[in-house]
Amino acid sequence: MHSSYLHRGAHALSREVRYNYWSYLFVLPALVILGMFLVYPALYAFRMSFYDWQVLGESKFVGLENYQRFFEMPNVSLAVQNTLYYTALNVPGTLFVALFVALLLNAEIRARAWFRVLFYLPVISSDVAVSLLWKWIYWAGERGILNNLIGILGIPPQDWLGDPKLAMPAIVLLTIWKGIGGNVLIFLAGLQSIPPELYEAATIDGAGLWARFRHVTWPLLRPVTLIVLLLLTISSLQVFTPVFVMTGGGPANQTLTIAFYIYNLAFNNGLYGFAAAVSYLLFAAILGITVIQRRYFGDVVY
Amino acid sequence: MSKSAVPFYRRRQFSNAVGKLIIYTFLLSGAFLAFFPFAWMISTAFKIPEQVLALPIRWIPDPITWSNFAAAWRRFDFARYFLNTMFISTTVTVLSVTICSMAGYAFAKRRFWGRDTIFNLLLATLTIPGAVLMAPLFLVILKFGWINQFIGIIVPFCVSVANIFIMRQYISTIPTELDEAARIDGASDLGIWWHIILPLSKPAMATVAIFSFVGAWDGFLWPLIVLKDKEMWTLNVALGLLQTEYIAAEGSPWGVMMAGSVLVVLPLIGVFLTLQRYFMSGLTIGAVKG
Repeated sequence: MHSSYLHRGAHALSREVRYNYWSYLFVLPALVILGMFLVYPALYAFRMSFYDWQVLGESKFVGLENYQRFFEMPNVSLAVQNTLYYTALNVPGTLFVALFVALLLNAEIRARAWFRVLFYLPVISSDVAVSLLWKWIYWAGERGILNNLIGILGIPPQDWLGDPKLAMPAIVLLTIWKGIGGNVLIFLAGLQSIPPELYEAATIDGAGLWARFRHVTWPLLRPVTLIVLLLLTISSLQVFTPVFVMTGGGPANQTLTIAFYIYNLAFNNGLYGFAAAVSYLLFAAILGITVIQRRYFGDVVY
Repeated sequence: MSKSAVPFYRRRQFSNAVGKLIIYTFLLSGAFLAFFPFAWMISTAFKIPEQVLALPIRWIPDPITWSNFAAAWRRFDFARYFLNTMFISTTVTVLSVTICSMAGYAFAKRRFWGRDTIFNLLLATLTIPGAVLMAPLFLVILKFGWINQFIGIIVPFCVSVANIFIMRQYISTIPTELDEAARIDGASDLGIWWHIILPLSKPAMATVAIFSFVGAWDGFLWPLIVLKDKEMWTLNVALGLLQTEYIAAEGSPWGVMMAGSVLVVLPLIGVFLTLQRYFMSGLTIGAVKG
């Protein structure tokens, strides 16, 4: 019974493929590449996380040891804290600045296209190049441009990337600067889909600027705001390049992030199994955030 | 804060002028802040070494020198890294636009068994964080013997679900009558994709092209992991790894470093400005379903 069902299924499939083979040929290259280099490695990592994985020698099954280690290694909790700190600063910072800029750009103004392009320039600029540029902006001593500028206001020069307290906020400032443009475009698209009649009706009802924002713009923009929130959170939890280029995780490990930690585990210490376990915990956290977001704030509108 | 939440042209009595003044003030200062770091980069790149750290700070270098660019080009082996990066980015872009537009066409216009299931599975992979791939993908690339080869940076990263999604969304707005008419006229499946779909989906293709090119050009983590030999490095790897060396050796090679950064960023800005007209409309369709 079961086999004949399978057989019939296979038959139907083969007929489908025969009549519709172009459809399958069109999707095949994408599926093969995504399968080999995205889905397979992601599953493979799950297996690796239970092994003391060796690239050349014999890998040894160690059960949950890698996951246990996660809670014992001193630097892990630091990496988690730093990443959460980074996320807590970067997500609201980028979101609100981007929303503010999008609101300004949504007004009837001249040269809107030019402003959009200008705000988008940091987005397309190479991560490494702009990280290097900001490292130079943060140059310690009064000869650094930022210290020079705050000197005008009478603030003494800071060792931006060398001070354990300032290093992470300094990195966040760079990533907010770099991240605004893309989110402005998403917000703008959302703002432009709000029907103008709603604002007219609100104005007739005597709503002021703030009331119109609070009761028309903000609620109608919610789905877009949630996408931005989700995408920003997911990318913030994986921040790597600015840390690598600007601080190398220092000073005193205060900018050591999870992604940088995983990189070090795998490629400097050869601890592939442990790296896989840490990355799966990160995966679980991101999945958790996505699920919570879906359950409590409704579906993501793609 | 909410000044602009209201389209100003609808507010008949209120003084438009004041509101506009406020908006332009904010926008111009924002634009200034967005551009200020680039200005500093360009300014530094044209300074002679003695002036890079000189006080008081000079925004317009005097004399203006090209020697930093020459130095970056020679000492950095810049030409080689530039060609490596250009080769990788161009190949990724061509492959990405081709493969994603084919898949996007099939998902948007054709009916076949398993289409929606496959598409939803693809969307589900968007939750896989890149960090998860670090260790296992490296081992896959190692197994293929692609370490230290451009193919190890090109093939695994030439398809993205987001780009397939952008193509699908755009292609589904093309009227189906067009490809049906072509079919009745005897066009082949490949012919329909090539002669009907591709010419009509230019904004989406430009968007995917920009994302792919910029993504490949900007890539750092994977070229860093895969390309071990100095001759195989991309611009970003060279810039990222050599900077600590140079800072340690010379204290302040910032003129040369900023010249290098200008050379890395310039092609990206060129590609973006060329395609941005298409890009903005393509992105809007991909980003939010109106």
